[in-house]
Amino acid sequence: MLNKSVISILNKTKNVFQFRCFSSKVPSIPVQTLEKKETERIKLDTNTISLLERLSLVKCDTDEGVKVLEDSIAFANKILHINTDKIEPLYTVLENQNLTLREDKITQGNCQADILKNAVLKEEEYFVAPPGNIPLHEVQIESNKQTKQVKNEN
Amino acid sequence: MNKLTTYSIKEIHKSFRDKLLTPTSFVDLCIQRARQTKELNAFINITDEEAENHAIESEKRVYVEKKSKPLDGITIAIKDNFCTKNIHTTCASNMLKNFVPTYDATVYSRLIGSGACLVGKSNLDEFAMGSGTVDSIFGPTRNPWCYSEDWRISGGSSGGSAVAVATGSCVAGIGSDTGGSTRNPAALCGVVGLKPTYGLVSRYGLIPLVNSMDVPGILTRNIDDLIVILNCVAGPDILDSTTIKKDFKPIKIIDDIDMSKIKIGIPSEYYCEGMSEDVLDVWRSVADLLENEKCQVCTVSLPHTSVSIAVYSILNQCEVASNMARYDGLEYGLRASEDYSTEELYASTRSEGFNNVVRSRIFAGNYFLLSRNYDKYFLKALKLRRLIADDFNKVFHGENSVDLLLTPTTLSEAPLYKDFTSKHNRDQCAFQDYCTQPANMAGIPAISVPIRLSKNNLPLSIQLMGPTLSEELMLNVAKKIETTLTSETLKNLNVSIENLPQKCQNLLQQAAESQSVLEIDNLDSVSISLHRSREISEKLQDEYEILKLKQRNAELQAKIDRNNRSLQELRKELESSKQSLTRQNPNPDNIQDHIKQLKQKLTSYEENYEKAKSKYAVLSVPEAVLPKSLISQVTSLLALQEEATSLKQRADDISLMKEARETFNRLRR
Repeated sequence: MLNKSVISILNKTKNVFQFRCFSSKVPSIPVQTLEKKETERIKLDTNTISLLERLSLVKCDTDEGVKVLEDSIAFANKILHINTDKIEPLYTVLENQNLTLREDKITQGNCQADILKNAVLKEEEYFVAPPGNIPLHEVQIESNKQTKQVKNEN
Repeated sequence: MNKLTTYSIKEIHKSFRDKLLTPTSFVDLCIQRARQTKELNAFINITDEEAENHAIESEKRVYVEKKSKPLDGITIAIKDNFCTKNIHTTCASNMLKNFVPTYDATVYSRLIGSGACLVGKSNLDEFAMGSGTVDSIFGPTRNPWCYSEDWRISGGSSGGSAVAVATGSCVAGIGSDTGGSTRNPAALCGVVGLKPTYGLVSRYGLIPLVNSMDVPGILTRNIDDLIVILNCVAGPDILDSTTIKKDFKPIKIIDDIDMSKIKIGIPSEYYCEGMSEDVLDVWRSVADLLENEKCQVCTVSLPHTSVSIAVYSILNQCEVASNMARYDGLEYGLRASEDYSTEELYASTRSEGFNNVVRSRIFAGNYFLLSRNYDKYFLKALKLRRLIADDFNKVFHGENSVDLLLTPTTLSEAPLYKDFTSKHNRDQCAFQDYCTQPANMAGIPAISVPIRLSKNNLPLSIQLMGPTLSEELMLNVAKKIETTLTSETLKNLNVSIENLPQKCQNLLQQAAESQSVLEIDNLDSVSISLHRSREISEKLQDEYEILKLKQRNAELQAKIDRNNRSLQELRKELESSKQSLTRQNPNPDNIQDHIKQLKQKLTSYEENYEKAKSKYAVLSVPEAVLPKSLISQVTSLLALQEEATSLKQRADDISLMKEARETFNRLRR
């Protein structure tokens, strides 16, 4: 009984030794990053933020949102120092492949009902949009004024 | 006994054949499991109706038509950013909460076309932006490996699919992989996760995040299943212009693969700050395992790895800003009540519809794309992307090239939810995607393979990467790792039973005994008899059908014989009548001609007769010249004529008398 267990323990350790008999090729220290170590503080002016709001068509974000944006920019800035002279941008990994041309034939159609199916508001067979040509910020300035007025009244 | 989590596709199909399971019963089991594990929140929508319909069709094919397809009765979960016709597809966002696509994603239609059954649409980070499946409007998905008050995240963004596969709610899950979204949850939930070569699997119907990096991913419990699924979904698609045009050759497992010819590279840059000791240990042990299997293992360098994550984050946010422009509330998706102006409607719709992660990425993306920043950030990032892709090219195709790369998948085991959410989504992605996103940058295939459990009993995985379209080699090596680990685990188990303390052995024996007893008890006698009688009735039914067919066959044969005989008789009759006809003269064939000839003869005779008559009429013949016989005949003729007239007169008299008598009688009366 004792012998048996000793042998099996030996077998086990032998396995372990066998398993570990190679000097592993996995590195023993973490890599030195090419990123710039120091993080500079980014501060965006209100003009830029309102421009981004107009472009993004997302309403005024909170202070936290602005901070996240500034962090994102700071993170991106860490790689700007790397030399990329004479390097062409890589737009797609399939850049060496041709796109196929298909035959000039109609393959789709009669899907008006399908296309309109998910619209919340429609009139007959049209999508409906409110009046255009009114830039976003006019409204917000107006609404700000309104809220100020309300406050004043209070 | 519940083996849902151990069944492979092969085993399931065998149990279908042996009638231990049927497609419908198996799908029911999976749906039941999905319901039981509802707390984990793997599914946004359990599609039991579709599953049932698919299962019934599978059952028909398997048992009635006997033409089964490669995925008949195999349950799948589809990440909720793949379009499914007439089934809600939400992207876990308020923006698409009520969106019902009118077409199927190619991946989904190919799976269903191969016989798969849809169990449900699985949870994800909103628009697949995240690495934890914590930012979903339907709540976070929980890791099934450690579920208590301090629960752990499932990884993401395809966390729902990974958990569904890990819990046995489905056999395979479909995810999407932009920066590691399939491999990360696969690693944290202990399942296999494949990111195929960019363009190998169609993106048609996958709601886009980063078009130049997105690929549909596959999650399964083992490599064999993964290959079956990949073989069904891969290949060119006319609906996605970015699929690789080359025909896809189905992947096969080579049983006696020569490992000594395979070169494995260990990229030193993948050991970054913050990698846990557990993960490093697994990485080392798999490197040693492959070396033990006689692979050539060497250290290689991919120098630009450490900047890849920052480059990825720029490109991701730029493409997101552009991709999210489609959500304006007019054509589909959420529409805010604002109606002052179009832009106002857009802005309020997008603010209501997107969570703060999506909004902040749109913001940052638009910042990098401002015309003053375009070159500085966007083009710079694209140039760095080429450097990163070139690193891979050199390692795979340059001097001292290697066939595959071995790296960790994640930097740690599954983090606790409270730790994970203490950091912002952006920071988390920058950390969690470190090892996975380079493969997306270069468009190369990568697979995450579960290896063993950590000290906290959580799954740990490693990642294999290969050059473009090297799936076959990569999956073969992954399979080799899988089988080696399984046999080793089994060996260890065998050894350990003997070495266990006496008490444990007794307990184990007891458990085994009770299990065997339980199994017999578990088998319901009624169901056994039902099963048997069903088998018998099926057999009888078959025999009856055969007998019926034989009977009909015999009847038909008899009929045919009878018909043959009558046909022969008819033939004989025809033959004899023909013969008799030929013997007859005139032949019926020329009887008309004969008649004509006769008629002509007749007319000529008549003419002759007329001529002779006229001739003779002119001549006055003296009585003496006339022959005696003729004279006597004439006289007798005259006498006869006289007699006839006298007789006629008598007859007239008689009739007259008769009439007179009758009138007299009448009068008398």
